[in-house]
Amino acid sequence: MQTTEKTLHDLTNQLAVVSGFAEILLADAAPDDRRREDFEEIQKAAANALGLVAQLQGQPAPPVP
Amino acid sequence: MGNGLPLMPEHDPRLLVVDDDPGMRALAERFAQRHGYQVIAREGGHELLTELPAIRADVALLDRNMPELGGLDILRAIRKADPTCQVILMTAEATVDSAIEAVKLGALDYLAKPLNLERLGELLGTVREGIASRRLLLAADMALATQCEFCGMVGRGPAMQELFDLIRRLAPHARTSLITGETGTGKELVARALHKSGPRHKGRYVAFNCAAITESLAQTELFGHARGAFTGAVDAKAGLFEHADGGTLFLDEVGELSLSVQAQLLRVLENGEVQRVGALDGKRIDVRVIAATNRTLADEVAAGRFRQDLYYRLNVVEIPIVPLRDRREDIVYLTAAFVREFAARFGKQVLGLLPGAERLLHNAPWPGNVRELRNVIERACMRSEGGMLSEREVLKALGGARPEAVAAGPAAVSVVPCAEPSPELTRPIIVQALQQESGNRSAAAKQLRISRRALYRRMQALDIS
Ligand SMILES: Nc1ncnc2c1ncn2[C@@H]1O[C@H](COP(=O)(O)OP(=O)(O)OP(=O)(O)O)[C@@H](O)[C@H]1O
Ligand SMILES: [Mg+2]
Repeated sequence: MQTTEKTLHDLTNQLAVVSGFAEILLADAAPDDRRREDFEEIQKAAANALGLVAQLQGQPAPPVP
Repeated sequence: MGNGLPLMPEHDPRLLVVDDDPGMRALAERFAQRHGYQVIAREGGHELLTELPAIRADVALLDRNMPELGGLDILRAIRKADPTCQVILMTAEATVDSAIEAVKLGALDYLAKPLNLERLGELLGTVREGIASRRLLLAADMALATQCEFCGMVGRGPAMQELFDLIRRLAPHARTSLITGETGTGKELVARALHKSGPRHKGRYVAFNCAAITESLAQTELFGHARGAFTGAVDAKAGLFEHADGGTLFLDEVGELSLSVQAQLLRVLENGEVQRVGALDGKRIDVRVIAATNRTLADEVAAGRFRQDLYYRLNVVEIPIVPLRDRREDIVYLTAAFVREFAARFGKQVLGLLPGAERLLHNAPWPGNVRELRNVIERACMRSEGGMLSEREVLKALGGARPEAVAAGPAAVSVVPCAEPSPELTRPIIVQALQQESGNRSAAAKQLRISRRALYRRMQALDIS
């Protein structure tokens, strides 16, 4: 049984993986690569999600469903 | 062990990633590859420990919290298995205490999760630069070795520079000369250099080892023979003197010639004429004679084994070569030159030497001089798996050179100025060794690096009881 806290940790790590790969894709893309914007969208979304998780962690842990 | 290590080129630095999360492993792997690393990714667990020594990573990135085995345990194991490997820890809960513990255990850094890729990139850069600078050091030593090379001889210190000057000054004049020096100091190379940088470089260079042949053979080899000079002499044959006419004849280990051949040699040197065995007339020849010996010819003269007149004739021009232990400043350049030679020959990517290995080579006694150093580097390169040559690898290679040194352990390869097995084991040295070992002959022999039998022979010869 995982506690919510542990789940949030794991979620953070997974989001970091998403954001990290987006960062690598961006760094590898040529300046005129049309996918740059897409990669940036992924990165932005991952960053937002990380922020949301941080918010959750800042609050008292919600009850385990 | 599972699937074993992938075969990868040896020149990129190697990162070991250990994390139980596959996403994190994939990210770290991808990121490090972009920074020029080869990456080995593992999910941890006890089986990693048995695999550690074979991985030979330059740096490891370890997750601190993993189910079976934590990052700190792996850090400890790495410290034992491969002390040159640097370690970076990652953790979700970075506390000051755990960071202190990690640093105490020798971790390079302690990163919080989610991972700051920029910081990781910096760390990987630092490690790579450290490796690159060792590699550059070796490359610089190789370049300097090439610069200070003279006719295939590497020598940067004053002793060798003087020798090179002497060769340059002597080469133009085809005077008979005598090269002296211990075994493996490079006498043959000096002889070739005299020939190559002199006016006869287009002529023949003929080398003859006086020790490798019986007296009668030496005679006919050197001076040739007439037809029917002895049974079996069906045809007339020119000797090496005639063969080397207009060029150079190198007489290696001249101290081993018998007295009668010495007399004939002296005649040739004085008359510039060679007479084939059994022939009536001599033939004029123009040969530059270079002799070499690792004996002290003056002693041989005193003992009646070498003709004094021939000795005087040879040593008008004497070229002494300093033993390696008295010109240790050359060792790193010789080492670099030999590493280049043998790494190429064995197809190994030797990147450099760890400081301990360098120290060991610098301090070893080198009774076999440059030849011994060359053999040691050859063995070390042959066995190397690429990367840096470690103290352990050099020690092993040194041990192979002198079996006694292995038995005695590492202490035997420290500087022992008067402990070389040399024919100059004088009475006081032997007496002192015996006294130090309270008369124990085995121990004294070990200290002198000679066999017990050799010690007995020496004691008899010197009348020590
Ligand atoms: N200065 C040097 N630079 C590079 N290689 C060297 C140097 N001196 C010696 N060597 C190498 O060391 C080995 C021994 O050299 P060499 O045969 O000339 O020694 P030697 O004095 O003739 O020894 P010995 O008395 O045992 O015949 C050779 O492989 C030679 O190429
Ligand atoms: Mg020789």
